[in-house]
Amino acid sequence: MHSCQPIRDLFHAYLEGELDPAAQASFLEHLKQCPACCACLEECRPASGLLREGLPESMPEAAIARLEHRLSTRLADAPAPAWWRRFAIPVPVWAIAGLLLIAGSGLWIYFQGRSITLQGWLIDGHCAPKFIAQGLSGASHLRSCDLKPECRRAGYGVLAHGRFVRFDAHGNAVAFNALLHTHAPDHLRVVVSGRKQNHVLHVARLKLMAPAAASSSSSGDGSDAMPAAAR
Amino acid sequence: MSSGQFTAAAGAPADPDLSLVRRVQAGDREAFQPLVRRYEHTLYRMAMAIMRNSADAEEITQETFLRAYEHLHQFRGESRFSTWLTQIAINAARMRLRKSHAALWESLDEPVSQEQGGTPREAPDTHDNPEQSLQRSETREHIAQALSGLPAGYRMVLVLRDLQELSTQETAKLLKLSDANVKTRLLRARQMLRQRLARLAPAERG
Repeated sequence: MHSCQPIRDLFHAYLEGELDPAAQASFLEHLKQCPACCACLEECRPASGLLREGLPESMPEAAIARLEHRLSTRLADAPAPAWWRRFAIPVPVWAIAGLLLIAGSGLWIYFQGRSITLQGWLIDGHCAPKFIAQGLSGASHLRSCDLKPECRRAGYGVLAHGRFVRFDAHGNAVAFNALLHTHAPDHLRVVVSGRKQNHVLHVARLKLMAPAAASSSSSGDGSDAMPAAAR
Repeated sequence: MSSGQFTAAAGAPADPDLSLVRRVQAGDREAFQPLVRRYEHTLYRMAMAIMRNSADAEEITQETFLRAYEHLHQFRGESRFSTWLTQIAINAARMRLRKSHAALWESLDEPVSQEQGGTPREAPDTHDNPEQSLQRSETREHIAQALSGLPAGYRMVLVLRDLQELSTQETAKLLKLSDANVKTRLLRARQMLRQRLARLAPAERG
């Protein structure tokens, strides 16, 4: 047996046809002289025929009928395995994601669209960058400059704490109207409120404060003294 | 259930079932029927060999097709569809065997012991070829009986290699065994089957 061990280790390779010619020749030479290995090899040959013989050739008709019935019932109920099912995520996850999205959108709209009040100097968009660059507050900006065509075309805004916030079209119209009705040559202090979206202030109310008692209210209802909340 | 664990060998012939599978995946339910007809007998026979009774075999076959349909979107075509089906059936059979009483005394993953495995054993001193000596009418019963007596871990290797004609590598992956272990178990299972048949046949005839 011990001398046969290396030969028996080759049984699988021999039966699979994996032995090279030299190894196969030596293997067969051993078999000629060893009935024990021959008998053992016979037992190790593929049993495909035996298995086919020992097992039913086909599924019984009654079992096939039951299989088809069960399948047809389940297939009719089950959704088709369409491509999108690959991405199917349990409903609760989608529901949670949807709620979070809605809540997030609401908060975004709330914070983006909430009303703010700014207080600063009324200045046009053409001159504002120069004032910011020179570190000027905007108080010295002249009304006459504001009314120049190129300054009017650039639009208006409020300059406060070194930041310029542009008005929307309605705000520009209101600001221009206020400038027309004020007599102050400069120091055009303004209090403006509205909703800020995408760096533009959608003006709801604008009040131009004259350096002295004179003032010009545009679309306002006359109320003032609101707390400034410059951002 | 896991799926798509097999990788098609380089140069392997195209899977003949792939076009039907793709149609089912695209939503054509009718295309599943030809696949069922193509494999119902093969799967049933394999299940019979493993489970050793027709009720369990039928149940395994049904379960396999239902699971295959439900999980078909996971089939990527990295293995043959038939191999994928076999994998589902084997998993179902293993689960059922574990639940059954057989699991108490028969481990599916038992290691190849020195006593049972290793190299093929010495053949008993019988000059009769069991395949020739069995009467035709008794053959099926004897083989079924001999097969039933094999440990489940060996029976599965034998069925996958000699009945389903899977490769050593496919069998190893499916049963989570090493290639060497599959080879050893295969030879040992063939031997055990024939030796049991040799013992059964004379007794029956006597």
